[in-house]
Amino acid sequence: MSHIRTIIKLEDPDLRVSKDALMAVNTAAETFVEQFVQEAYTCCAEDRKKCLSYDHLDFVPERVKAEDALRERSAAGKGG
Amino acid sequence: MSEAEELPRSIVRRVVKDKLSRCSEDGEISVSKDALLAFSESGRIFIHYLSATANDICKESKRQIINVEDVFKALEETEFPEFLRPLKASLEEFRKKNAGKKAAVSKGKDDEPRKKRKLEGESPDKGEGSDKAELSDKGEDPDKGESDKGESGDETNDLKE
Repeated sequence: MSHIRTIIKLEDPDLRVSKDALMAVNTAAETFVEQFVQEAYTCCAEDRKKCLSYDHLDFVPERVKAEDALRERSAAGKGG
Repeated sequence: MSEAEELPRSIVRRVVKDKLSRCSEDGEISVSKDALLAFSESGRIFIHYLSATANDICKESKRQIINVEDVFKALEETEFPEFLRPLKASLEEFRKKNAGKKAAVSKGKDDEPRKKRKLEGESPDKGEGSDKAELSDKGEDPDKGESDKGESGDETNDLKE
């Protein structure tokens, strides 16, 4: 719970949250991760794999090497 | 990113493993490091998204403290209404536990006058020493306690609204 309070306060340090609201955010985040795991597992099962890997997560960006990302960014900067 | 900014990996791992054990009947499924990190990051972003939306709702109502209703409305606004039912159930449980704790604390307060009478019989130095020891055991700062009380007071007032 203290971690969640810290994460919330990072955006706005003056933000104040009641204990119940903090508990609600905590539970909602847990439910969200569980739902995400459920969907990733479905993808993993279709793939007939015993290891759930990053590629089974349909909703996250593709992995890019740091140097490639930086190269793309600098190219975009020059183009703009 | 500092450790304070991310969700504890051990807890994320436990949530993921628990869910996977419920999903898969045929044996254990392992999770790659990258996938675990992705789950953790997505959870963190979700918390930011939800709290920012709840904060906007709270400000619209011209209140200072985000309460449960703001979080519920935020979930509907962010298109996660399916979370509301399990959320309300776990919140009821949380409130019951808290009520039980409060009852235990108030019971302890009723016993305090008896303790005080006993302490009055002892020397004043001894009494002070025992008080300080109690605070240090709890790891609390006497000054801090006051400010915390004030804040929690505001919170309860806000919840009543």
